[in-house]
Amino acid sequence: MLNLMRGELYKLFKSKCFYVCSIVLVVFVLLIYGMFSLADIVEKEEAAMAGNTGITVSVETNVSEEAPIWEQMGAIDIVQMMFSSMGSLLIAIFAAVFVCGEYTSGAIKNIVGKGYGRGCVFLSKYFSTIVGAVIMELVMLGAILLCELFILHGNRLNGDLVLQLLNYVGIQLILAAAQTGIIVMINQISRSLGAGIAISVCLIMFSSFATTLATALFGYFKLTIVASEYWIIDLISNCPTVNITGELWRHMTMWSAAWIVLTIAVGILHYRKADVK
Amino acid sequence: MDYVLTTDNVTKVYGKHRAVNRVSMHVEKGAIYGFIGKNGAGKTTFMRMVAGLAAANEGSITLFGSTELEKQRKRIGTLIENAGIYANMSAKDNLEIVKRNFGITEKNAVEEVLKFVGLWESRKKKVKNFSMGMKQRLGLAIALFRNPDFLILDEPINGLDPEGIKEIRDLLLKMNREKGITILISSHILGELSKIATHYGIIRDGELVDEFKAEELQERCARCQKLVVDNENLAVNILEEKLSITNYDVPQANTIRVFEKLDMQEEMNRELILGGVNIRESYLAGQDLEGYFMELLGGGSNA
Repeated sequence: MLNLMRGELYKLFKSKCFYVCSIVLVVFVLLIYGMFSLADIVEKEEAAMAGNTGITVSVETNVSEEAPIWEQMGAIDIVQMMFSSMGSLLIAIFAAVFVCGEYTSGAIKNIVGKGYGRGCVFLSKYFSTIVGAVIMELVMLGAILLCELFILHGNRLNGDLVLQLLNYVGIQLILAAAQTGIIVMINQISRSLGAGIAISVCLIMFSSFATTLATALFGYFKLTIVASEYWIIDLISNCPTVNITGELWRHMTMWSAAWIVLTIAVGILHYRKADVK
Repeated sequence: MDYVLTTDNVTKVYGKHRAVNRVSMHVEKGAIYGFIGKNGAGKTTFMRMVAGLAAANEGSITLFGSTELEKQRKRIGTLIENAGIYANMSAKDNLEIVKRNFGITEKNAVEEVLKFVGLWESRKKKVKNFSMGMKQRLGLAIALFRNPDFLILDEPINGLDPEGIKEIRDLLLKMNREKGITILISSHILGELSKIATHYGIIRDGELVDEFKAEELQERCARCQKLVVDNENLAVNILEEKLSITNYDVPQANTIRVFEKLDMQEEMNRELILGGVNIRESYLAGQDLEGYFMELLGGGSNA
């Protein structure tokens, strides 16, 4: 198992997809900061222009009454935006390519039937993909912190923010592990790159509709079950950035662990007997 | 007899189709076993079951005398269908992955195996830029990495030019002779296979119809006087007593093949008739290897 993990991690750090997805995440972070910086400059210029033209046209707009953009959009908000949307999506794409690539290249034949149990083969891929996903999230966080430092001169980086970030990112990493596990399991079953990516992306983008529908259905049968409280993708996007309590940690960790155990069990059960082409 | 692989009635069913049907194969230690069959005959499916890539529905597989397959498969190297390689990585990187997967700590293991298959000079080149022959050689390098005792190769010379075919053939002979590796190899190119194989297995419609040694094949393809008679026991007695013929066989009822004294056809016919044997057919027969294989495979040109 340890040997397989070493092989998988070597593959991970040689994987083009891993680097491309990580770079895309960094580019998105830069774009967000670039976009808001530009909006901030325009807003300041507009404010500076007001009253300098000699005639003040008193048109009531929202702009002058709102707080500056960088006050509306805190660092933690950008972290939340990235982790719950682009981060999840690119991790899903990376995981699909990383897992299905084994089957499209046929390299899986170099491991299966070479004295390792099918369970070990599945687990090594499972955990190495999670390692990749966690690194991608940390790269994304690093890019955000660097932008805060260089674009906003570190004005907003203080002890409270760091504590808030540690709490939020910690929970997100736990949830990302479970989300990646689900994607790995799906792709180990589908083994088709196209299908794998399509299913994974749909899962990230549209599964919330399914949980909403499920909650409505439960309500119809007089059950007070809120499906989104247990579904990982919803937990990732609905995770609060403030007031993160011990109870929230417990809830998130418990459901993340439950999904990890479930996906491992289903994955191994399927993989044990499956033919490898 | 020391066998590397024996199977007992191994069967693989896909839906209602029996891809492999009750195959009982015997691969002797040190042999190069040529596995021959048409497209879709079940060669690859059978090899995949032996390699652990597919599970058999019925029957049993014994490797190195043991049924603990997971453990014994550590001693096997495989190249089935196509080489399992990452096209975006170099030959060296591909082997570094295999090295880690197998837990090999020897520092120059990658160098050694790349040199053995003649790819050391191209080690840094990305595999996507390799020729078909180079890819096959890299596939062989992966199969050879753990110094296997048994190699399973599924059509390793497919798509190669004559030079590439010769390279692979020489490499296989080198592995068999220098390292004593037993090889199970399937190929469509029967002429090539006959240059290296010491044993043969013929599969037709999922069933192993025959297994024989290369020497037997030579005998079977040898020129002979073929006699179809009404009483083969009487005919055999006459041939032995009157003409002192001992090198013959009776492949089927009423048919005798005589492998010696082929210049005495007239005497053979005369003595048999005088002895009261009715001769239905009498002619000189003999086949080339390809013709013989085609006959075993059930004719057609897709072998």
